[in-house]
Amino acid sequence: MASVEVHELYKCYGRIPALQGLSFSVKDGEFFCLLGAPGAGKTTAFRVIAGLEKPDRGEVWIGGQRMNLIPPQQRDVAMVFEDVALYPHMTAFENIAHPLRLRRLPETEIRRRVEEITERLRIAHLLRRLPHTYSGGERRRVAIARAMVRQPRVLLLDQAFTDLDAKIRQEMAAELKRLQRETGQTMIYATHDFEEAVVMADRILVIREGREIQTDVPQMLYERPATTFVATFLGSPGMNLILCQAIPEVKGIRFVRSDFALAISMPQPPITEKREVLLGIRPERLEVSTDPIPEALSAEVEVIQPLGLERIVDLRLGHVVLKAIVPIQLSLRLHQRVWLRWPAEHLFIFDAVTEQRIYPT
Amino acid sequence: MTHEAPILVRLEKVTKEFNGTIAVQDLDLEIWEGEFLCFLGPSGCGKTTTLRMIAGLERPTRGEIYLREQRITDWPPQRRNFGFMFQNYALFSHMSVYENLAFGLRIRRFPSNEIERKVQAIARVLELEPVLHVRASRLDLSTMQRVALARILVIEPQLLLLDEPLNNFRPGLREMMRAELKRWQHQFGRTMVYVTHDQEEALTLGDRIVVINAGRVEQVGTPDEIYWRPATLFVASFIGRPSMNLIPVQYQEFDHQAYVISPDLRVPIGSYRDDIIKTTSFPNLILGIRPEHLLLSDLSHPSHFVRFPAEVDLIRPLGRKQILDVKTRSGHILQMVSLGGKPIAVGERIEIAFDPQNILLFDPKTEKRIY
Repeated sequence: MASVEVHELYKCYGRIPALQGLSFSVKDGEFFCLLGAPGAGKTTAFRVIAGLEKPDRGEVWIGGQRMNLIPPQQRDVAMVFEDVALYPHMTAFENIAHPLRLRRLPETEIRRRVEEITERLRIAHLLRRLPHTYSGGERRRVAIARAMVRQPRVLLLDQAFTDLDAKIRQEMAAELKRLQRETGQTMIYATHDFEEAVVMADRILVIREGREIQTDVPQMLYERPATTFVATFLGSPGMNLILCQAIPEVKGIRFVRSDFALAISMPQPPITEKREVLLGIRPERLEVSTDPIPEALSAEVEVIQPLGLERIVDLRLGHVVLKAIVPIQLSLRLHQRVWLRWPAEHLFIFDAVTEQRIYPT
Repeated sequence: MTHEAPILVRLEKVTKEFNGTIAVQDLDLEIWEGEFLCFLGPSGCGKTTTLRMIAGLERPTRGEIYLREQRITDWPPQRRNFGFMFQNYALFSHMSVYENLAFGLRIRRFPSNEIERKVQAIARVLELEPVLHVRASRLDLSTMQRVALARILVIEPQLLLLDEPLNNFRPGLREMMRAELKRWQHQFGRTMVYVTHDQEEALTLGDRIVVINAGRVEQVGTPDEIYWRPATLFVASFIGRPSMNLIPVQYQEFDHQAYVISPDLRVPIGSYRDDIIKTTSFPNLILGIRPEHLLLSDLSHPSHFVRFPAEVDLIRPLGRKQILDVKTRSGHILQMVSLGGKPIAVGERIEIAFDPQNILLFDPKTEKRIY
């Protein structure tokens, strides 16, 4: 196992920039996630780390050793891709043993290692079967077993579960996390699905257009998103954002739009002069009341989505539609009028142009 | 739309076979006037085939279809006057939006002033006036969807059939279009049948949901009924995320009191003994409990709650709430939802509590709910 560091990676394909100064460092034994939309640069970063692609600029270090001039086969990095390529004519045992045979390990050692990893991944029943008989989840398990059996210093998983159905994807994510915890394998996982990322990752790097947007533990990405991108990417549904003018007052801020105005009291307003902002509030923090609240904004219920003990409702406020998560006890009808409370301690303010967080500071 | 709503379409013992393979089997179903009915099921379950039979695009192998008590099983699609909307909107890309909307009226031989009036009216409602003279191929996806819908509404069908119309949308837009659809349905009061494999979509849109699996109807009910009173093990595990915990248990009596027990649990069940004793696999049963009904035990919980120890195996932080995978003493993994509160670490030993009234019991053989 080993740590991984990348410094200021740049990579262009023709005129198209894939990586634009990406840096991060992964600790030995850490589970690290790259989270970003398709095309954000995740796969390119992996290919550079594995040595399959030369960066235009920047460095890759594995286990404290500079890798730029080291060929892929000597880097001791294993990769699992979305489209799993198993040898169709080989049994699971032979597929998994293959990397060890290439290294000419003794047969007893091969057998011991294959049995150990298949035990951990609960695929012992597949050992004598050919790939065409596996389910989607089983194919992933065999591919992971093959990648891990030679105990690589780093395991890279590129959207390894993306095309599985939602339920199996969640199960696989949980299993991979358990496996990583037991083995201490350094793993980097790339995905566009935040729920998958938060289950597995010790830390998550949010990537966009080949650049780091924010790196943190899952909970902090949720509590202190650096930009509106992170705020809307994490959460289900993501944060509500309202474009408006923020006008500082003595003990608070007035948020003004053509269709409504909202005064929030704050002991120390985070802005000093009038400016365009995006006012943010998470759907679970917006307080919805069916009884009138004096001077509160009122909205109309447009859509109700049941979600177990809660409901997600769409609320129309002028031209804005806000999402709120409300308990099931609050009885709501479509097109009903409700009143909204905005707890100041749960508000976010982002710059309307740079989309960077202004508040909380 | 209430239970007293008249029946618009009725399917009676409808079966469809393709080369000996059964796609839909003995399906009975009522579609009520004015309702938004969702067909929900995994891919290949027969929901699209059922929709196509209602549309008249497929003929049932056996069974009958009625429209307001008139038998229409043999009617060709055009005679039924239903509107369809499929995944690809199938607009005429070389024609203007206006021509696309007028097309259905022209083939129905409406007089041209009538066509003009109807097209303008629907364009106003769906905010298509600015693009009426734009070629369909130049529209963005969400406008295309509106055109596709307008094209159906303009012929004033008595039933709208939609087959996964939102599949092509990226996530954010998809939610927006979902809200729009619900709004339109409310506005036009049309009966809609909507096919989807996405449970969130079905729970949001449907007045009632038909859960279909392997060509059979598992349950028909409101979103609340489907979620809280699943009729079968399939519905219980298919609906809800994280899905319902299912635990094999055995029925036993101690001191004239009925319980279901597992290596980890002993849950009193008051009445219903007769129903349980009659089940086919007695005394073996499956206990179902929703993750949101498992609580971190604390002193405020009443004494009749069932408690059992477990160890935190995995934490899924989803912002304000966490989904915990916990391992019971016997090694069974359960999922629970924890809302904030004190921080929890992997490996921590905890006590879980639940109200025995929140359990469901299923017969493992018939897979039907009995409690």
